[in-house]
Amino acid sequence: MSSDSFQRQLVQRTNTLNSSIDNATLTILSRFQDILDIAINEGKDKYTVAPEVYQIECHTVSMVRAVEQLLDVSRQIKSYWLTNSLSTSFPTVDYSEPDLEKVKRTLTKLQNHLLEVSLIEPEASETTEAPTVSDT
Amino acid sequence: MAEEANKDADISSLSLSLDPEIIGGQNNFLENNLQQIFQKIIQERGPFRDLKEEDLQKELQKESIKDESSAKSSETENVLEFATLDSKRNVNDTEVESMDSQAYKKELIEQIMIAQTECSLALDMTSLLLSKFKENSIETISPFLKSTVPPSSLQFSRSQPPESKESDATLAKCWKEKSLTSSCKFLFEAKERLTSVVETEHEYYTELVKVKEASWPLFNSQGSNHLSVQYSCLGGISLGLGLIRMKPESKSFEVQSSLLYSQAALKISILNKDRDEIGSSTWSWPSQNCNSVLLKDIYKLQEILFEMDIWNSLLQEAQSCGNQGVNFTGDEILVPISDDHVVRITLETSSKNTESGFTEDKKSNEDTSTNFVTIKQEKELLKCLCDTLNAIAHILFLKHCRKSDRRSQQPELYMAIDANAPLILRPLIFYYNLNQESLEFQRWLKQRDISFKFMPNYPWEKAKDFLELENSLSINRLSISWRIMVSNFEPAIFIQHTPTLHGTDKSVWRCKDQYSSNQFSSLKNVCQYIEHHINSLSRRSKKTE
Repeated sequence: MSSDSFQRQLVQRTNTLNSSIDNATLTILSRFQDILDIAINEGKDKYTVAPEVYQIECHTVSMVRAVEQLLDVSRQIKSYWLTNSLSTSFPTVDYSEPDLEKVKRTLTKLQNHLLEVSLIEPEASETTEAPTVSDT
Repeated sequence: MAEEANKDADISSLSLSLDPEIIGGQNNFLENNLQQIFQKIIQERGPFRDLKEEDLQKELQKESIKDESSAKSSETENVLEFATLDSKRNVNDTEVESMDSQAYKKELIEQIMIAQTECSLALDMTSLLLSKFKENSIETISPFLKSTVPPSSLQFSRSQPPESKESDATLAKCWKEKSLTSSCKFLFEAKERLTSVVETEHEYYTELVKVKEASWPLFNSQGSNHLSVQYSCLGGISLGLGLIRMKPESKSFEVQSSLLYSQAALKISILNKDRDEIGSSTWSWPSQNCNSVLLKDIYKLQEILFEMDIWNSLLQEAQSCGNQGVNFTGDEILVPISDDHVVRITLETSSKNTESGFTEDKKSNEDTSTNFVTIKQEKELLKCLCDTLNAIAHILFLKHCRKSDRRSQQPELYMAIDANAPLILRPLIFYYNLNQESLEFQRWLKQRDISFKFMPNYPWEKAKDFLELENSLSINRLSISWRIMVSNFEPAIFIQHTPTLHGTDKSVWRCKDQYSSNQFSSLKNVCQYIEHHINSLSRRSKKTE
């Protein structure tokens, strides 16, 4: 994905989330205001009050749904951060130098099992060159 | 059709009789009154609508024949024909009349019933309306209505809405109060529920942050609100995705995966000629220092998948090592290492610890202390060997997983071999064969009392970290130096052995003495060369003497 398209997608996602937040917030405020407006019974007969009872219940449910929508937005933001942010490192196997040296010694020991091993002598290379000089 | 029928009728009526008197009489009818003629025709032949042209034509033909025969026969036939026509007409009329009358009666009865119903209803309503003003009208009310509606109940009055009461305000207030109370209760319940949801999600995402801080990659799951973790990012070849979700029973988090086994570990055993296990090693990963249960589960899944992947890789490689004596089934891989011993590689999937180690016989109890020490040392050595083989297998598999490193550092190998082919068994076999070949050479030299110096130069000895160690184990070519002292007075023979893991030159022996430098492809040739050299020296010494 190119950086431009990624930026456009990021902007679009941001706008969508902001729009969701604004809508949910507006819903909560407007529904609360509506409940307060119809809470008073002065100058109303029972035939007018009856439908307002159901309106209050509907507004209450709408407020709760708006809050749930805000929680969903929060969940999306968290998931987006967890899944899309790049990691600077990767899980590694915990090795240490003593273990490395131990492994090396063990490998050498097993490889030289039942063998008579001599240390490499620096003089051996010099001795090797001597026959060449004599040949000359 | 009607006009034609009328014409035919006229013709037939004219041809009824050929007597002059009758013809004259008919002419008088025509002149006098045409209606009478029609009436006569109808009386004789029935309605015009029943007349058919074919029938009339037949009659004309018959009459022409009758005229030729006799008047009596013609009269008789005419009578019969009339009778036949009359009978037909009667039958048709009866059928038509009966059908029409039945349908008409049925329709008429339905209409009468509807009218009766309407009249009865009108009478009831009218009587009920007049019952207040006229006593006799009660008699005309139907019994059903009389029993259900009292007399004089239908009046000329309008209905008014009920008057408002003082309790209406109280009722409305109670309704509103109840509504507000229930809404308040609903909000508090929602608050409790959502608070619980937030707390749960807080714990969930806190655990996920720990997973992310441990550098495990996380992904969104399609069709689910939960996230998935890829637990094979380091050493596995498989995808290794697990869904992170909460257990409803214990309120803890788990990784839901689809692995076949709940526990897996590579096990390497050494078997003797009787197929008894004399040494074994079951791989175990070091414990992770983390407080999160979820992370522990992820590390465990990683280990299980790693072991399963390495086992699959070994099986894959065993298919191409048949020429080196490797046998395999779905459960085990057998690598012969000598005439009497076999290395067995299996995947241990049960939780039971089957690491048995050295198998002791009953006779071992009767051995002396020296034998006991020897057996113990042998046991430890076998254990060490199995552990090392297990470690090397894992290290080589890690290197196999790092494809990019292998491709970049050793391009010639990438071109020579399949990049996806694992390389685990072949290095192990290679180093074992190297040990055996060196051992054989030393034994041969000792048998002939030839002094030597064996100076191996293993690639891993210079490794500074584990990455270099991994690379060193897969180096294609080694270099081992030998120094053969054939005589105390003559210079030594220098031999450089360069075994090759891949390629056509499996093993190259370069021998150099004071007179020449030779190259051999097998140990046998090297031994022949040394013998030849010794013989040459002996012959030269004899000549000198």
